[in-house]
Amino acid sequence: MKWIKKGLIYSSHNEYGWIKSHAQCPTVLVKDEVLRVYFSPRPKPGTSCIAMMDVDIDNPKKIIKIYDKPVLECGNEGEFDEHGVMPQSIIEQDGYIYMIYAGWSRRASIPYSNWTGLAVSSNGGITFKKCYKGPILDRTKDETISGTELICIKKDSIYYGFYAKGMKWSCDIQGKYNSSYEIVRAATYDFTKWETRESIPIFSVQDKEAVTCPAILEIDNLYHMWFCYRGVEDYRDGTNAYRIGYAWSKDLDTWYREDAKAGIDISESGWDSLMMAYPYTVKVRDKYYMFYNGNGFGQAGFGYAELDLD
Amino acid sequence: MKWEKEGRIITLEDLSSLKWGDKTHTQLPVPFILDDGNIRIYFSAREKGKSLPTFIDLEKDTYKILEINQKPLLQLGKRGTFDEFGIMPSDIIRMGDEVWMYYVGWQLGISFTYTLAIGLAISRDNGKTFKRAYEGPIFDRSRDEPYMTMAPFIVKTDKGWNMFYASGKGFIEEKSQYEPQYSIMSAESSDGISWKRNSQLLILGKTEDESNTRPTIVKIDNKYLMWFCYRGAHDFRNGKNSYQIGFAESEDLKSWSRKDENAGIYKVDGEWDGKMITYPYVKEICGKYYMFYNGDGFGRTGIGYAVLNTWGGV
Repeated sequence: MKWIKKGLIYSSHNEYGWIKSHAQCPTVLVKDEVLRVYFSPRPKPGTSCIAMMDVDIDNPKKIIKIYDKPVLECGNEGEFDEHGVMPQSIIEQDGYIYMIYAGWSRRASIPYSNWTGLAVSSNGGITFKKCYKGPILDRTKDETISGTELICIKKDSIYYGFYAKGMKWSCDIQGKYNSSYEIVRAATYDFTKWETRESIPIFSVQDKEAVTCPAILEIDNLYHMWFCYRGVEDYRDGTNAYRIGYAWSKDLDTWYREDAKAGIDISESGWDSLMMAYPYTVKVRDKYYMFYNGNGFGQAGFGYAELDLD
Repeated sequence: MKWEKEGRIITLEDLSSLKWGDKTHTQLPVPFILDDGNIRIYFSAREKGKSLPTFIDLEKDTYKILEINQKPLLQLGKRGTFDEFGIMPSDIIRMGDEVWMYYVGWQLGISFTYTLAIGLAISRDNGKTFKRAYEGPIFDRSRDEPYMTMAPFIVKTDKGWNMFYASGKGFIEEKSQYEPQYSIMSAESSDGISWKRNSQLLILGKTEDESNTRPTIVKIDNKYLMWFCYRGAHDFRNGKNSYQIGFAESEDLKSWSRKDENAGIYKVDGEWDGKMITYPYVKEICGKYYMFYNGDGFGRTGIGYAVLNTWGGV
């Protein structure tokens, strides 16, 4: 597998006064005429909302329109998404567009607690309403830290969910707490319910490694997963910053990690030279695209790459 | 129905021999009958302002103190976990050879005062020492109950397990803090660990901003009787909307009629429970019904009890 980088699509420049910084976690809905890209800007430091733009389906570098209002905003005090929301993935079903999103709540002893919520659109992804005030993927007796970046693959009326499960908080030399995660798999008939999930790590991560944001494409009867991974120290554009990893599976059950086959890596210079993070893969007509963030967790914006099918 | 108050069985002075803790609280009493008939009262003491579970054993009949437990029964949870900032036992039941403690874990945010969730700890030595069963809560907020869960009370019937608890309804700003609001709900289970929620309010508030919690239930003459405590949203820390005891009854554990006029226990001006009566736990002991409860200051004034006068029927 090899990806051909097509370059930066967008970085935020204080559009409308609230897209102040960052354009994190690009998440793509394929429409007939356009690609609708949801992403997460920060209206002010420490909070995020979800914004939206349409780009040309034949040339995703051409931005058609950036919408002037947030698509989704923070919850109320004490709710799981009180300090931020970020898009994670899209499910289209029965004429509705569902957006799976991450909710952030800052805590007294840890930087944040983040879990997964669900919103729905009945007008083709223009406006969304939260389905519930609470999260659909939340803390359980066995998962205590976080659960985010959920994507679902539907097969034989079962939804197979892949998401990042928080493993632990560790303290770095500056006294900052950083979390690590691994990608786990769960299954449900109803994607609004994940309470009784049996989360199974799809591969074991190394000590002091965080692996998140799975993105899956099914090509020629094989499931290809890209994800991003980082260390737990010096990962803010440093030596252990996010890179794109890769794994494959024949059955969604057994996965083989082979990062060397990811087919994409940081550039020598420019917006994605220090970090590549939050891949989102999507089939557009006969092509496969990967949208992703570059340096600074989305501060340098997002771009895309096209899978080389030759 | 009337409760005859018998006064306090545990006071803060009784904590003076403890080698740990702040000796400021004896909160949320949970009675447990030992094999020899003596009574163990579990409650939450505090250490550096955070709740931790402990117990005091009382002699049956005399209620004389036999033993004061010298070590917290659980330590606070790991950083970031649900019980990192406090642990309060809420119900303690026998489960074969084990004793199960359903407890409330405290977590602190930055925009609100606190959130709570329900955990489980298990004892294999008759309730003397406990171990956390899981690092996470067994019963947490959910997509439909987005805030918090607290104050579980277990009722087992031949049809299975029922948990009565309070679920968060939101937060109301009071003196520039966000204070939680909550109301009693129920859930069902076949194993006591995984629960199916009803997410229905069982006890409607008398006022819109009422919070009710700490359900405690006994079955007398084929009727389920529930006592609970309720407060207002403002001025409830020993003020005019402080906790008092409410009452409801049911034939099927599902639909409840609230009849506070039958609660049978009230604040008495100038007494230790003059401003607040809270956290009731009703238990049958040798054919009589006892209510253990806290008075003023959320447990800062000890633990008292009352005996149900069933003369004339309940």
